[in-house]
Amino acid sequence: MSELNRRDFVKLCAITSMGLVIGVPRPATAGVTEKELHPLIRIGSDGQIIIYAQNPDMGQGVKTALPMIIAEELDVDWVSVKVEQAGWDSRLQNQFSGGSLSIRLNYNTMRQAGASARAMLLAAAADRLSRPIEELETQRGYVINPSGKSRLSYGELAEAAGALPVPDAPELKDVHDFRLVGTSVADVDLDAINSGQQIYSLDLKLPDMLYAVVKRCPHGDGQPDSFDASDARTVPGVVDFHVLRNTDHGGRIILPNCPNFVSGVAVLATSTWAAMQGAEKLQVEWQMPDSRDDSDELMQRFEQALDAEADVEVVRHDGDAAFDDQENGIDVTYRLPFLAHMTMEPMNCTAHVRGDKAEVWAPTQNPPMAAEAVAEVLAIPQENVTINVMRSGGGFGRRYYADFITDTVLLSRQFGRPVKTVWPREDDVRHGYFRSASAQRVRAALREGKISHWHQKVASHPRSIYLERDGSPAEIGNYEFPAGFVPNLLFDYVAVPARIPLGQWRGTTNSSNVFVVSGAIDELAHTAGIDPVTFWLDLVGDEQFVQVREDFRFDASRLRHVIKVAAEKAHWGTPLPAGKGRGIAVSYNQGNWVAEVAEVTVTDGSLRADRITCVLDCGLVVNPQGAINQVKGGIIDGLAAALYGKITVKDGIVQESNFHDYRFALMRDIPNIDVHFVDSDDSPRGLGEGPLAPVAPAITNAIFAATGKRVRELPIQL
Amino acid sequence: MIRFTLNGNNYEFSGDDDTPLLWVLRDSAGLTGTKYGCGTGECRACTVHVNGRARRACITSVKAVTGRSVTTIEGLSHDASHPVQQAWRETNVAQCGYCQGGQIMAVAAMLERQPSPSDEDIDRDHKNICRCGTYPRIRKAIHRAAELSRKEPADE
Repeated sequence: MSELNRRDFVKLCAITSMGLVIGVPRPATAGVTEKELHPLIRIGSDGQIIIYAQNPDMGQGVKTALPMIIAEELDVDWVSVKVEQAGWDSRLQNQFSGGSLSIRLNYNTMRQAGASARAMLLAAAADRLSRPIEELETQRGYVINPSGKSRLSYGELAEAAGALPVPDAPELKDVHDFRLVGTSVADVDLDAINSGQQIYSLDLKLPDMLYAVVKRCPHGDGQPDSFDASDARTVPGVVDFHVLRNTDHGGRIILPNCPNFVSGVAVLATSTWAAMQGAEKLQVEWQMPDSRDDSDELMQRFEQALDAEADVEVVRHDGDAAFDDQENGIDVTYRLPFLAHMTMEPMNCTAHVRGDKAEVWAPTQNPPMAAEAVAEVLAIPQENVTINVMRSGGGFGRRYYADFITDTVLLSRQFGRPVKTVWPREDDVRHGYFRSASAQRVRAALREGKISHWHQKVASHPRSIYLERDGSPAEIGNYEFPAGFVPNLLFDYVAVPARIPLGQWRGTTNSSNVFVVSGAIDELAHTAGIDPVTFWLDLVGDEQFVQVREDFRFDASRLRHVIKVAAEKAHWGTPLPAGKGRGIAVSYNQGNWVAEVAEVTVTDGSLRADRITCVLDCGLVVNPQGAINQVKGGIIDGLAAALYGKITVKDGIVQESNFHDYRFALMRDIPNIDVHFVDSDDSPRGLGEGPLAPVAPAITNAIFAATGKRVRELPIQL
Repeated sequence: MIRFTLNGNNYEFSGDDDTPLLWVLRDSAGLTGTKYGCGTGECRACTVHVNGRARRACITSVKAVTGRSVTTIEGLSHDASHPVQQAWRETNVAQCGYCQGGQIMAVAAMLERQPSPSDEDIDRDHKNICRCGTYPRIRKAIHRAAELSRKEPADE
């Protein structure tokens, strides 16, 4: 059996009271055969339709939504479909979850997958019935001949269809004929979750498996020097120790844009608790690096850098006047903190390395990167790597990397047994790859109530340098709003060197820049004495399209529409009692158009978000129930970050360690949230990140409306 | 040897009696529906019932449940038919789902004490963290579960 077929059959098949049995083929009903019609579609001779979810699910709903698109074009009843998660498969494109891209990048390929398989089934039926294919139709899992009485099930046709060539350009449905896409469908794992049966990576138990906790250097760039295990050995269940130095295995960054594991000493044990206790009792002497960043001091360096010459001019539009010729405007500096991910399921990985083959079970957002990193660290060919993609307990960008995978495969090779590495929450917080902190200065001028000049300068230490990524270090987009809408505009960037680990975070740079842009536009509206919604609508203007750059045309009409609808739904302009205020903010950079209005109450210096109204244009909505969940979740994520999110680094070491000092929102923090999608049959775009960014500025703008106090730093302090 | 009742059956644990109940359930009993999120009692993803009361298994030692009755999400009902589970299904609460076992167990215990909680009661008493932000649906599902419980009294 080939590696790929074997991978297809390696499924969790039984849950017993004593744990999981793994690696046993999914039991097939006697006499039933399955045929692959596409890497994501298998059909059983009994008519069972199995659709694989191409991209990892971490709560954003693509395990349901991507297969829905295939099922739509395949023309099968959703109730007859069994959905499984695809492991890493080199035949597939875009097999990662990040950047709100899973649906946006794969919508057409999922449609083509379903339509190709349907075309093959039709061709097989035409052959079987000796009828021209034009006479045949499909209907919910059958090929029918409308002029006669012939009806063949997909199950009867699968074997023959699977032997036919895959068509290049199968006919796609008219989107107005969709029966499934656009309707609300429950998450495919909902029942397993509600009964405690859903298996996450952390729940895996393989025969003969060792549990590992790595006592890691508190500073991510440090190395273990020596260790004393005399206390740790006394913990019942502790089996062995192993020094892991990333410098012996490719270094701190294993691949461009992918960190390697943080060095330390692994404690191997027969249970999670024993491994945790062993790591607690282990004494390690560390070689600490010279660079010892302090986040407060770094913020001062960012602010100083705003007076220095820029490294990168990201976008410049010179209109009718020089930038220094300004009056009646603002010159303000905004400050944003480092943010952690705090996935509910801490980082973990299970691996079994046998000879030059590695099998991994991981809560990864990025299976191809996981495969590449495993191959790199073990020096084996990528085709020898199997990545089983587990449903993740949250991701938010943290699981995009493979740093929590590379140490596990090394440990499994070292001990010749399956190993599960578990990260105590404290390690998960301390060794994150954070959303970058930044200081951002906006100098802008008004002329006749309109913005005539906009100069925004960003200072931070860039991900691109830390992660050895290609391209510009600028943590600011080429199409940043209000580029294209202001005659004189400059976005530029100053890089400040530092070693605090950085990475993807939900809406990475958008989560920072929208706070600054929406805050500064609100300041300008108030400076001009114009209502903020009116000011936004004037700024966006009446043209449908605005040419932002030579290669990018912005659909301003969709932005205008979400602003108008949000204002209307939030009853913008109606009077509020003293102490209450409304603020508006807008996001535009995640491939969707979002406007949010926050309504807040400020009483004796304490803030309460009462209501957030969100209007979102993300094109066609595949699964409205999943989409609304994801949008509300993004809003709550944005709220929690605005209220509480901040990572502090002292002497190169992260100070926060758990949910008590890196808080997340609780039930009592949650406002009423109204979400409205704009009706659209334009192809779907992302929606997981766009709604997050406007929450903080909508709230701070509302605080200004309520109190006259302008908040330019997160998390919010009144 | 620690003996207790686990989901209605006798259970014996012979390891270190200071081991948190969480790891006994997960690693020894193979009941992985009870989740590790923080280890310090903050997130409540590990909520189980001990003699019918909600307890955080990560900060409850196994010896503390000697002779008591422990119920996990797997034992709340045989077929996900508990009113809280029904309400969770109807309301499509879950996103990633990782915390939801603990959420369901916490709410089931809350409704035993307070069968018709107000929004203020929920704000005050419901302290489980959901990192996906499913809170609006949790609130809705709590009210729905209360309604279902009134229709089907627990002693039937």
